Amino acid sequence: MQPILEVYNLSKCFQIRSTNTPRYLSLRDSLRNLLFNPKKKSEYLWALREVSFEAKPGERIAIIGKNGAGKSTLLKILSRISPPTNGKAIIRGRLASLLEVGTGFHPELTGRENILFNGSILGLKRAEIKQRFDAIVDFSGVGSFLETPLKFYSSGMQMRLAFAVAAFLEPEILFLDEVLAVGDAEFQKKSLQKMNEVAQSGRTILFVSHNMTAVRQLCSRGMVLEKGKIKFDGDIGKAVDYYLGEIKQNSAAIWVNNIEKPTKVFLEKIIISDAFGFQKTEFLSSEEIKIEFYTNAFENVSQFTIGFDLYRHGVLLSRSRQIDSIPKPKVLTGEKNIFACKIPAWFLHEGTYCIRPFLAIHFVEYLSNVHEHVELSIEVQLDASRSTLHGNLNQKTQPGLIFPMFEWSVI
Amino acid sequence: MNRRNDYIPIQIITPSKKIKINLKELWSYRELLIFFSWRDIKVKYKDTTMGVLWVVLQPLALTALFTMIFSNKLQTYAGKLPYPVFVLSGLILWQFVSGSLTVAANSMELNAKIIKKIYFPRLIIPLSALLNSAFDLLFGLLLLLVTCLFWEVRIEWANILLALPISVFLLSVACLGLACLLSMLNVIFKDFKYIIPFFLQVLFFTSPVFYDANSFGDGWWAEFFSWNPFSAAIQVFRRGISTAELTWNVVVKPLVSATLIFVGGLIVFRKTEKNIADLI
Repeated sequence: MQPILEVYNLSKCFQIRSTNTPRYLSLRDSLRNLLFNPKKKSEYLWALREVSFEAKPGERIAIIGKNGAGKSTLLKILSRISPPTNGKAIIRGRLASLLEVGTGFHPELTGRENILFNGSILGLKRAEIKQRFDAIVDFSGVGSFLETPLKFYSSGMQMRLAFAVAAFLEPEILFLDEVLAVGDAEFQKKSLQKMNEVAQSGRTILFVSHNMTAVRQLCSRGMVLEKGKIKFDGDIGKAVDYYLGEIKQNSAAIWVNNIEKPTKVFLEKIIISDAFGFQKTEFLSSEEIKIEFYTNAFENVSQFTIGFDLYRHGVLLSRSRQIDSIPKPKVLTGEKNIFACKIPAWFLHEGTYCIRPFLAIHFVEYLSNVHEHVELSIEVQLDASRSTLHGNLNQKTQPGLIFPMFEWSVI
Repeated sequence: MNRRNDYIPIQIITPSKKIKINLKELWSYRELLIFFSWRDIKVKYKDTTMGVLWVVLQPLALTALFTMIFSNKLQTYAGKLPYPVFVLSGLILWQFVSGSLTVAANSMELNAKIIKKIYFPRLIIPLSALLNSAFDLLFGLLLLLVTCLFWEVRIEWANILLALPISVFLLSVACLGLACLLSMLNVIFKDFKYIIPFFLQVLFFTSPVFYDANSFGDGWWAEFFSWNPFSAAIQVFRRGISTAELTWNVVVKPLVSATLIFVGGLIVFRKTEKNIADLI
């Protein structure tokens, strides 16, 4: 059978202007550079490098990889949103690309009007939208609010409406970028079921996701991207294993102290995990982060403090010690302790954070010099399923070093 | 679904450097163009009374203002037309120009979210800005008709029905070219938007909206006005109302310049369009 999608040596290169100038141009700067500084420094970043693969009709392929591995870039090129630098792709069939749910939703328009516009922008003809209109409304469950402007919808309702339109696209090739993670648990189940239905009906699907459960359920083949290259292409189970293995290898969720000689209180190891004890260093902002410090005391120490400094971009965000919440800071000879600290969900922002542990007798002396050379990094991604009125959360809509969910209410 | 069995669309994605416009594709997206314009009109006229009122009130207020200031001094140059009719006829066309260019210039930024997530011919965006202004123009024309009746200007329909399309065509071609150019310059240079109001102001004063181009005699200015498509469009339109004769030589020069603006704008547009998702 002729492949429905062929990709040959697809590459994409981004030009990054020297780091201290902004990403965009300004006329003023350009004119000045033209006059005084004709040489432009630029760096190149290959977001995709010679990616080649084929997809047969009906194949359901998951594209997995870390943030910045080139997954979204690949989908963007295949969706013709941005052009490749090199290479070629051939697509045989009608394509729908869902890189986001609710593209083009306008708060001033009513639910009905938004269905029409959203459908149209996703490539449906007017007649096709009309034909599916009732099914879309039915699926979304917002029937009684059809004539209400979208701005009065809750974000959950907006998401449901958006997904409903997308679910009835019925193209031959479908690109999905993490759109499953919308709505409440019940609707997620419903949408996953719908996607399964779509998948079973013989459509070709390319699915980008971090949700390994959804990926396993939906896809039969997996491609692991790393730094713009395909590292693995094959059975979905093996692909997921490969990817998870890769993560474990590359990041240190466990740090074992094999550099120091035993001190009065010895820090044996540090383990970073999620709330369920699964060791990892990449977290969603909706996940709790647990940091455990394993200590072994060789002497009695009162006023014992153990804790860590949290850095981001070299800025000290916070210093936290066990004595902040545990009142009696005392360890006895021979005691083995695990000091566990939880960083709550919805506290850290998207990005890389650095943890520097320290052990001390409070305000007297350091018990070890781990604080000088031990750094553990954790990676946080914003949970895309949490969306606000102004769209998906990201660094732009939510500036700042941290992102705590303060409690708001109207009184 | 049998409706798609008739053909399989094949798309080939390569790093192309062509500037050619795919008219066939553009045509297949005509519904989206309508939807785009419809959406913007809908949003603009959402609280309908204010929307319509705004489109009518603005030229009306300006007409009153210009009449108060200039009617004595410029009436002699307005030809057969009463000065208010003369000014209003220029103003409603000008509103088309400034409206479409202002909207188009910011349109890429406004639609950035869509552009980054979905492919469609980006030309639809400036085109829909033009269509929206055309919609406003309809109200303007109605207003002009009422004004003409009020000042008892004799209307020769045959004349107007020839002049109006020519005039609107000239404006549309030139505006689309400029809209393409400005929208993309706005994408490339983040500070370009500060220049646009100034640019429009220059365009306003160098087009005979509230004065008559003929009053400048035969010199350098006359040559400028004959090449300026905006000026020509206004003059052609006024000739239509005042039942003056329409000659081809009035149309040819601005048609050439409008086409040049159009092609230039389109080239810049097509060149930038490909990378637009990475730029905005």
